Amino acid sequence: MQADLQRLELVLEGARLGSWDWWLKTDEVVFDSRWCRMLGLDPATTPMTLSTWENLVHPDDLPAAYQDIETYLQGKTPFYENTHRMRHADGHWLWILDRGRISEYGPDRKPVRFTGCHFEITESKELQALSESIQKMAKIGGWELEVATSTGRWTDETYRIHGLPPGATVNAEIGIGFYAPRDRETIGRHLEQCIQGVPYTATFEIKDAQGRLKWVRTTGEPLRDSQGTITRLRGTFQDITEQKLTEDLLQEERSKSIHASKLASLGEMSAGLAHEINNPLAVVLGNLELLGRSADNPEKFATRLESTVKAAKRIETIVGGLKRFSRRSDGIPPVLARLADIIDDAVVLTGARAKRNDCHVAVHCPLDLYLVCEAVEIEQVLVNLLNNAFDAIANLPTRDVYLSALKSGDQIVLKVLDSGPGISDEVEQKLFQPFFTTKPPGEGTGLGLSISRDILARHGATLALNREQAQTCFEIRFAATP
Amino acid sequence: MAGSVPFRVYYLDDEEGLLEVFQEAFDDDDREVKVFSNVEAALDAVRSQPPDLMVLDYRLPGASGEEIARQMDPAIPKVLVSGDFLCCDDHPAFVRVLAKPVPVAEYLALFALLQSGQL
Repeated sequence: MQADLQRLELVLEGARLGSWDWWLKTDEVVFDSRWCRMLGLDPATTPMTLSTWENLVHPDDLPAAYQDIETYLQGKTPFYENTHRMRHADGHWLWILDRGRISEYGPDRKPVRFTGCHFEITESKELQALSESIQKMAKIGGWELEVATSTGRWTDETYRIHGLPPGATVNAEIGIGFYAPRDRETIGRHLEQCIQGVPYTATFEIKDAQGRLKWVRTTGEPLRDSQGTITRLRGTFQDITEQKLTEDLLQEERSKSIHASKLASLGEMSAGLAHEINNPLAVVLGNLELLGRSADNPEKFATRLESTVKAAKRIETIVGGLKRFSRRSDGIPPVLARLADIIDDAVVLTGARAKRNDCHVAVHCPLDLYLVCEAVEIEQVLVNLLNNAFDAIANLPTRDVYLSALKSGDQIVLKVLDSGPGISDEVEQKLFQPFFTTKPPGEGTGLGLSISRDILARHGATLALNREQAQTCFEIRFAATP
Repeated sequence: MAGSVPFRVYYLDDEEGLLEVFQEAFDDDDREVKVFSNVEAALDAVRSQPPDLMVLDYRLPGASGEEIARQMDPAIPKVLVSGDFLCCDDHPAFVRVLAKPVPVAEYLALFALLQSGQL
């Protein structure tokens, strides 16, 4: 018996439990030594009355505690339970989970003795508060869904994200109602598959209860019971509206600067391009003027006509290339494109500049190399590199540019090599800085290489100077498309 | 003018289609037309038999029509033709600077002016 009592003492001590025994008629309360020590009090000097407890409870929490006592005494709850703060003798606050029940009734069946215990939960309360403030800061909320009943449980932050007061009733149907009609099927499918065991992460636009549009990233994962059956789903909600807006702005700025740089290189090339168009145009018009004269000579007529068509096709190719190149590329989804075709387009577009600078371009590219890319943007990179090469070697005795592509392991390596003297260390340092240019004033924007690097980075590719070559060699590395 | 010495016109351009059209359009009993796609061949021909009119394309491989013209006898009347936007101001070395495409009639009018000594 003594041993049992001792063991009980140890358990109570270890569990951070302290007991109280309240005589309702006199408001005398016996607080045990653990109860006192928990609050930093000396059991010998602690007054054993209700006011001891009352004076230590946080004034903000006291009314709710009495309310819970009242509710229990009226028989509305099976036991009394309340969580409240109490002041430690040191002055700091403790969170106490307080539980109790009537332990003795009088002959009139009225309660005379009320017994219970204190359990200190400060740490878990603090953790909970911390987690709540983190949720609030990160705008991340949690959700749970009972598979069998389809009832849901949300954290305060999840309610906040949805523009609802905490505690409102939620279930799968109500939750899905916040999504745009076009997305409801998708989120429904995610939930169905999650019930089958497949977790998900997705980004959607929702309209909250106040009618505000928000972007949310939501995750879901299945939870299994001890038999391994999926009984619940759990996940998070994150309000990413601000990030999304910033991203959109950045994307907009990025696409604007890519377009501006494209227009700048078009401007630089335009003089040469006019020549490239006016020459075949002169051939077309000249031939047409001669057609009348050749009416009686079918052979000559056919030759004139053939020459006309050929020249017209040249114009079509150049104008088509220009049109494609100058179009804004934002919003065009990446496609599988053959690298050799992109290189061809860039070489045609820069042909006039090559010709003016009397440069010779050689291309070696296997026909079976493909990229998932925005082809016009990759073409823009090649146009920049080719134009730079033509300008760099314009006044040299040999003027060759060699463009080669090959598959190396899981990468596609594309090199643009020119016959120039290479790039000095000093220039190399600033090579990719925006607005840095070695061209004469008015002839280069200094944006080509920095924009090119940016475009390639978005394609998961790199652009670097290959220093193993004495001559200037720019090297692009793409992840190969299997 | 039949029987007299034909009016001699040379045309230097790297656009083969234009040379063909030029030859076809203007080579007849009254005119002797020679076309060149090669700079050296044109310079040789000008030296051995100077033309009455030398037509030069502005943008030639390795050099401009301007530079080539300087290597020719300044007494020979010269015309510069160009497809560029930026190159159609008057030029002291040329009697005319023409923008491509040049209509057949414009060439004919020019020939007439030169033949009649008005230019």
